[in-house]
Amino acid sequence: MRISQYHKEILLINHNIQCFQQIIASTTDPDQRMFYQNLLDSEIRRLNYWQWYYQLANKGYGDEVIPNQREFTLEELAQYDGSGGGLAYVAVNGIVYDVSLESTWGGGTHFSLYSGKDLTAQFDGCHSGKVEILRNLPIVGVLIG
Amino acid sequence: MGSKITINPITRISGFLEIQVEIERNKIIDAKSSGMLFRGFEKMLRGRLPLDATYFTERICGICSTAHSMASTLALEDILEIHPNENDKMIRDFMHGCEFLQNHLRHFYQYTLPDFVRGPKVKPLYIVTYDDYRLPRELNMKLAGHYLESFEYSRLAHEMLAVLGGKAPHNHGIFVGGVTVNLDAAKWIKIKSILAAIEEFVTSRMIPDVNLIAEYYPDYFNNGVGYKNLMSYGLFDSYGEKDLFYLAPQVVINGKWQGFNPEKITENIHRAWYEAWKEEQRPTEPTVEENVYKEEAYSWVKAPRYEGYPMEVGPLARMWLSGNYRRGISTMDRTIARVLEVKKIIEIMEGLVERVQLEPTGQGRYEFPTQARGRGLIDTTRGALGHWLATEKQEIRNYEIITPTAWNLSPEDSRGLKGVIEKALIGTTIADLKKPVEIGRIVRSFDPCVSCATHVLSDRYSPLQIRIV
Amino acid sequence: MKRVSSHCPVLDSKKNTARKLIHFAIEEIKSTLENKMNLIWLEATGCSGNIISLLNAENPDVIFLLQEMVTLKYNNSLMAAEGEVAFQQFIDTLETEFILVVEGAVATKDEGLYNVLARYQGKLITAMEAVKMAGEKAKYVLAVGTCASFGGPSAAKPNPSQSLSVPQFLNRKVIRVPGCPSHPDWAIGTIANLIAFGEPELDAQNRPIIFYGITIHDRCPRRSYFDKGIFATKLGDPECMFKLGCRGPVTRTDCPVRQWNGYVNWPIEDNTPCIGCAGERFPDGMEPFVRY
Repeated sequence: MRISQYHKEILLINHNIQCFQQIIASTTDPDQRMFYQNLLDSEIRRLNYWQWYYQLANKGYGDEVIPNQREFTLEELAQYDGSGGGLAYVAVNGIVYDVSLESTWGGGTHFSLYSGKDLTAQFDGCHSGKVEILRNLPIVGVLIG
Repeated sequence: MGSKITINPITRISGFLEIQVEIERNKIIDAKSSGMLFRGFEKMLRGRLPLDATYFTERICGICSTAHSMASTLALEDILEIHPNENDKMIRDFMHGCEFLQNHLRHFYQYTLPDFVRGPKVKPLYIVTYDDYRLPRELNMKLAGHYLESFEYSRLAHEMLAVLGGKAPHNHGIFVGGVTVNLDAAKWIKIKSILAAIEEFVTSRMIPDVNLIAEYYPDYFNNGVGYKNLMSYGLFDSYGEKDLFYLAPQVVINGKWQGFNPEKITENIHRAWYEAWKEEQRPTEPTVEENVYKEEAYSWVKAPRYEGYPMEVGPLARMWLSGNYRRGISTMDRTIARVLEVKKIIEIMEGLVERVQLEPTGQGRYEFPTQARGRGLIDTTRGALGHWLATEKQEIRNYEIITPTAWNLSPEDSRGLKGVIEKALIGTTIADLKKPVEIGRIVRSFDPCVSCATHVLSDRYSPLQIRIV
Repeated sequence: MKRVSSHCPVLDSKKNTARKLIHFAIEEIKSTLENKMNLIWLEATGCSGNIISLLNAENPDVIFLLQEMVTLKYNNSLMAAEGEVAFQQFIDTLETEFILVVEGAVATKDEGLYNVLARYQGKLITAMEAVKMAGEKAKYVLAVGTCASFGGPSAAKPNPSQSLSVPQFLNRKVIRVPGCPSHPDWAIGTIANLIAFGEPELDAQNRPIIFYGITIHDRCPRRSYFDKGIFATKLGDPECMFKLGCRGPVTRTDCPVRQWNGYVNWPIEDNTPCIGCAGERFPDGMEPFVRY
């Protein structure tokens, strides 16, 4: 994930936050207020996540940020494809996550995708790049090469 | 000049069928049977994993899904060169038997009976097309009552299957290596009690019912004959015990008995909606593409032939070849044989349930070789079913399926030989041209399942076919 | 003396009028009793597994459905009539108030010729046409089974028949009752809701929440094994089959509590993983079904 993309994302989120705050301030309809409050909360969560992620990207993966700074090449990653009941790892945006016990990854597969691969493109396509979804997954390292 | 009659839909079958006949002086001189559904399962299976084939091919048909899971499992076990242990095999055969009971009960009562008996006063069961109902009022009412009862017993047959297979239709439980259920006493006594209930219904009601129908409609012993060439891939034939053995694979052509050789099976697409560089192909050779606008073609069903002959398969073929029924070959004989087969299969299932042990399954973990071929041939509810499978790089490269209905419902082939149902219809006398009740009755005696009969295989990527033996 | 003609018009009309009135009265009474809604169960591009599953219904069974709940006007598997007389019943029902149940997807390749349901007045009627005709006029449309709801096996890659799901094909609201096959309770329960209480509460995919509200995983009897990380290594084992590829976590049905065929068993209790047959992406997105 490039730094410029990150900045664009942060700009967009801040813009959204401003918009929603304005609407909330100007509306008298309680339902409308609730609706936009929900959207605002969602955007603030996104902002928090992106700021955390930026720290990660900037700090160069220091010890205190990632518990396990193991490096994976694509070949090494391919060994963790969940077959034989073994470990299942997936790389998204350069970070390698452990999906071995993630309930939607039964048998190491997820909606016809196999683990042991870099699935950044598929993630962006299916989950619209919503990286908050990955927040609770254990991180086992980073993808290099 | 003859007159044409078209019946579409032929109701009370599985799937979509059109029958067109040409009649001259009240006799059928030509018949065309058209399967009217195509989904392309063989194309879909390419590239999938072999282990997924069992559940996938089940979805070819709702009323005979167990049959496909059996044939597919046998084909996979052929590739892996494994056999289930004796206990698992008996449980698996028992599950297969459950489907026979369900199908034959439903076919006789829900599909066939409304042709001969006025239905109970429940729409749409009693809005009829014809009025050739010959049973006197009390007998008619009695049989209509049995019709309503049959819903429970056919449902119980599926319940028996679900006890061992998780759910029905599209059961689990039958898989490479054997079965998955760990049989315990509660399951065992449940299936035993259900089997006893069905047996009582069949003996006290189903068999007398079919004999009654035969009494009032004796003219149906003289039509629907076909070629009289019968075939079976064998059923319950791995047992030495007499009470468990049904019949071995065999064929009778023109009155002469022969052993069965799968290499003699070919499929002809002359009058089917497909194009290929060769009109007659082996099931191990891929290569057709659909073309619904092909001239002169009239069906999605391909024309399987054995040594070039159209063969009849099904309960009558089995009961005849095994010596259990030799009265004759006709519409009524077919129906009677189907009912008598229920009794035979119940007896076999009773034998299996007495011998089966309360052991856990013999399942293991299976890995597929990189390149292999296998086939699963077995007789099921409607007759002979075959799955031919070739794998490459541990994925399915070809998957060819020839169903019993393809044998019975095939169109004409390139040698001018009509399919079995077509031949059975030709020569029939139609009493009243405005009410051709004979056609539906003859067709239904074959128990067609058109969802099964239609598929295609294509190997677009290699015009050259490489045969790996 | 001239005999009085026995065909005195006044006398005759007295007798006949009374008889006619009684006849009409009886018909009126019958027709108001028979105020069940009409139902068409249309089998389209599929395996017809859902009608077989329906026949497995118990309390209520199919007889109850047909006698007490709805008037089934058209169904390829059960109706006594055949040919044009049969299809005429379909056509006639379109002018009444009816529920349309479609099982199987809608084949659209080559103008739908991959699935023909009838020949009516010389013309072939494709499943496409029949679904459109009835779908436009029905009071409610139910897509029963995964093929009708989402495309399912009929639309599996490469989808040779170019099958679409019923909601994709029709331009109106369709209630989805997926499952491969659909459990008879789900179909009959939805119909019961419609005839007695109106439309049931539906989720974002238009599935009735009473059946499809919670994932299998969240009600699985083997969940404690999952939570403790104790997994089966092959079929036939009694532990959680997550590592074998179980799709319970991504499938919403009540199979664990309702179970099948007289409520006797279900796939996971049979020691096989769930293959997600009621899911939107079945079968392509649920494979591999079993992975060692």
